[in-house]
Amino acid sequence: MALSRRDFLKSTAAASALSALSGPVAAVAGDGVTWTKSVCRYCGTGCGLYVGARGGKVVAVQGDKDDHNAGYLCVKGYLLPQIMSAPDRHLHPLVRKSDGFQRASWDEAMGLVAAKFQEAIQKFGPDAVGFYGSGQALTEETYVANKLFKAGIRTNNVEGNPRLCMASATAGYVGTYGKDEPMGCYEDIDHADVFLLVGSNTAEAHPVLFHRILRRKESGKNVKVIVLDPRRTPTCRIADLHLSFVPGTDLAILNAMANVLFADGLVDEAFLKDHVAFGEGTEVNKARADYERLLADYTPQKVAALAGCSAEDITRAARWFGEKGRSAMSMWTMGLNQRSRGVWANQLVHNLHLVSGKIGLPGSTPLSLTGQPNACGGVRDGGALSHLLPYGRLVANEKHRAEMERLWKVAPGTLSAKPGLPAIDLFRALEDGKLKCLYVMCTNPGQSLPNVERYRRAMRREGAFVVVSEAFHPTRTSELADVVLPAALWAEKEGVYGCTERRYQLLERAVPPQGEARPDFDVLCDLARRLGHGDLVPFQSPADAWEEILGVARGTAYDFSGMTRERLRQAHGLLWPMPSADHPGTKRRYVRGEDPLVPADHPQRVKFYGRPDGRAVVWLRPQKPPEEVVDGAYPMWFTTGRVLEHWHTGTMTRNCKELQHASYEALAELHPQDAARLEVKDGDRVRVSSRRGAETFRVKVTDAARLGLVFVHMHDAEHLCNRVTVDAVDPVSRQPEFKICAVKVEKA
Amino acid sequence: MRRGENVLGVGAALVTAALGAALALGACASSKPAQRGAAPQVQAVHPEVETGLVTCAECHAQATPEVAAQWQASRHGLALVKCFVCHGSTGADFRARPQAAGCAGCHTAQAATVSKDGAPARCFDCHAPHALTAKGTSPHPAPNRS
Repeated sequence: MALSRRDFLKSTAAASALSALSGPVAAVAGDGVTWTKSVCRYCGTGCGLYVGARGGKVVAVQGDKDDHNAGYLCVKGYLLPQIMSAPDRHLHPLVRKSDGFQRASWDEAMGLVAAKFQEAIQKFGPDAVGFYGSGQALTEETYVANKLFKAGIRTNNVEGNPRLCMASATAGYVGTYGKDEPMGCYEDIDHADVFLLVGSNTAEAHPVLFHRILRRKESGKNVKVIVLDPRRTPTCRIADLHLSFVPGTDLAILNAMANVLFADGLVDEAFLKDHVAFGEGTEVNKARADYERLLADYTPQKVAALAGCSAEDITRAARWFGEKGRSAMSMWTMGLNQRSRGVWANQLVHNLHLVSGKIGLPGSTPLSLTGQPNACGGVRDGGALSHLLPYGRLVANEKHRAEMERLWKVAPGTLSAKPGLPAIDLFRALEDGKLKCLYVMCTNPGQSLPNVERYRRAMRREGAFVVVSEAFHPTRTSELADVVLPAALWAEKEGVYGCTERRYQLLERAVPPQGEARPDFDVLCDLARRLGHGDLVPFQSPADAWEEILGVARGTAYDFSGMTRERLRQAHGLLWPMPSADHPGTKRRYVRGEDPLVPADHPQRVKFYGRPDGRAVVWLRPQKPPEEVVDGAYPMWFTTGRVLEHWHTGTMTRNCKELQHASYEALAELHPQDAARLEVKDGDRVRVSSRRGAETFRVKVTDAARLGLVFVHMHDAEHLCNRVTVDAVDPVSRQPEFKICAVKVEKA
Repeated sequence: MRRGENVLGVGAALVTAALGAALALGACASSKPAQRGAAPQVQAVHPEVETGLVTCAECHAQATPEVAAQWQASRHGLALVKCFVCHGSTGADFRARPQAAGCAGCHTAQAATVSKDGAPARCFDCHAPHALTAKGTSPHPAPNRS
């Protein structure tokens, strides 16, 4: 009989406290430690590090001084060894029986999974099953899952949590430049004169990149940092201008900044003429005059009134950004992406770069920061979403399907032409019974989906069969599963991660898996064989799959076919395009002389070859409010986000002793005036309710909060902010609007 | 990198920390801040505290204001390398005097080249605790980012 999550945590808390989990400090000095090159398990910065192991256990980490992070790690990365020996590591398969979870052999568990999937496929067709993966899985793991489901089972119901974090950035890049992934790189930080950080609490969410910005600010001349965020986050400590605004009005602010660029003559006329087209809706059919007409409506004065900020601040931000002869770099993350108009918000940032010509030059680039270590490499690039095929190919494109059928050596017509269900729709299909079986790997939707109670019910619906492959148990998802498979964790397996800047890095195995845990790569290959698709996975190891992946990427705009396993083993990260084994890699994409896909004799300095006309698109996007706005019944804004010490659903960081003492509990951060109005003080409990659900939090009163806005961090497994958040999605990217909804707050 | 500069406008130059002040951590015995200006006490232990509502730095801004201010204005403070990274958590895992070996987690190259006046040394022989500034010529190599 399995313990409840609460009882389990209670029973392990004492042991955990006593063990005082030896940190890296003690181990670093010790002898007999072997060091293996790897990458941090957490965010999309992708910091290189070495894993120190002794006696088959991870005892220390050290930052890789030769990687982009120059040896620095954030507090989470520094404490990584502790996650490996966490008391809730899941070490043997579990199968749910009438009296709860029972331990099972791998053969029994996998036999049951295969039988259930087979039965659903036979009775209801391939679209009755689905896969929900992760931007934390290794590239080879995601590749095998994608190939098995799309080419073996023949469903495009392959999704992953990057739909919750990066889909709007992807659609933004694709819409504007024709291809996904940034053109810039981290090194641009060292050259930037102006930083526009919008919808990004870089200091807490990407600390090592923030540190690099900090160093640039110290060493550069008159370097300016502009932060656009309703909250005064720790990122604002180095801001020259913090522009706080009413949630959801940033589209108007970005248009107003473009307005100022035109009004003040900060437009790069030659760049516009040579490299830019204009579009509206989905058509590239507009002219510059149309764009200027749209912008005329977005004067700083008018927008300031809407956005609750000062017109002077908007003008100042635009003038700093656009000042001739200075470089400008924008960085953003979930504040823009997790929005019902996330794609538009992304494209409005791109517009600023295109209008001012501040793009494709050292220090001038729009760089979307990624939240997970392999959302880019594994899921976006690898095409493991329901509308994608690997390396820029689309399910809906007949030529692309034919190409993949040839590369995967399956019969013509094997790949379904029908795109699968994006994440929220996938869980809704589980809810309404159309989806019978779901395989969840390396992610925690039972905590991380918006309006989460709805989808928790769907996962426990009678007749739904949910498999969860996880390194920890119980999680808020594994507790709902029918089968919980023990996954090898991070240093226990080998594979590739691809981070924010198109940098791919190899994580080598440092220690053997604990207990009966197995790498997801092996488990997926096992499943493929059990389902009769063994011919699709003729791999002895992830390295074999990598060989095949290089062939699939060859000749595409992602071409990294020069990234051999041996090269990855030697290097401290490699940036694509890298079309041959002797190519050094590409720091700045689309740039003549750097990007091998731009002809050396191209007449201009950049070529946006992702689009047929070679031009990037300035999209005409009006202000649009969020899906849910405050009103009399729900008068406060609600937003969620990260804190420094924890990560995602906390399955890893909440196992680290030091981090259990730091921002462990999600608190409702309130402005002092809101707290006074509600008659609450620090530590009091408030019930935060939306039209979907409610959760109780303790209060923290802080003047860093914006009046009328409640912030709660997303990492607490006991106090679920997602009971409150809204599951409305962007119509293009299908990414949910985690960042904004309307709530009422009452003293509990 | 130039040393001791403070171009970020986050505070005036700070007095180098005295080790005694640096270790005045036992003053914080509960989530309730200790009296401002209480005499520094050197204690090797830090009691378990309820940290749900208040961070180490918030409590120490009152318990040991000089030390907290030095940290906050330092590189570590700006980059959010928080107290527990070097000092561990409260309770049994607390480290009053951070081991220099711990620095190697992020400063591998520097930890391998620690010397003062040509002789082997420890990190804190040159770097003031919390402020972390050091005077003189750096013996460490420049970062080599790939």
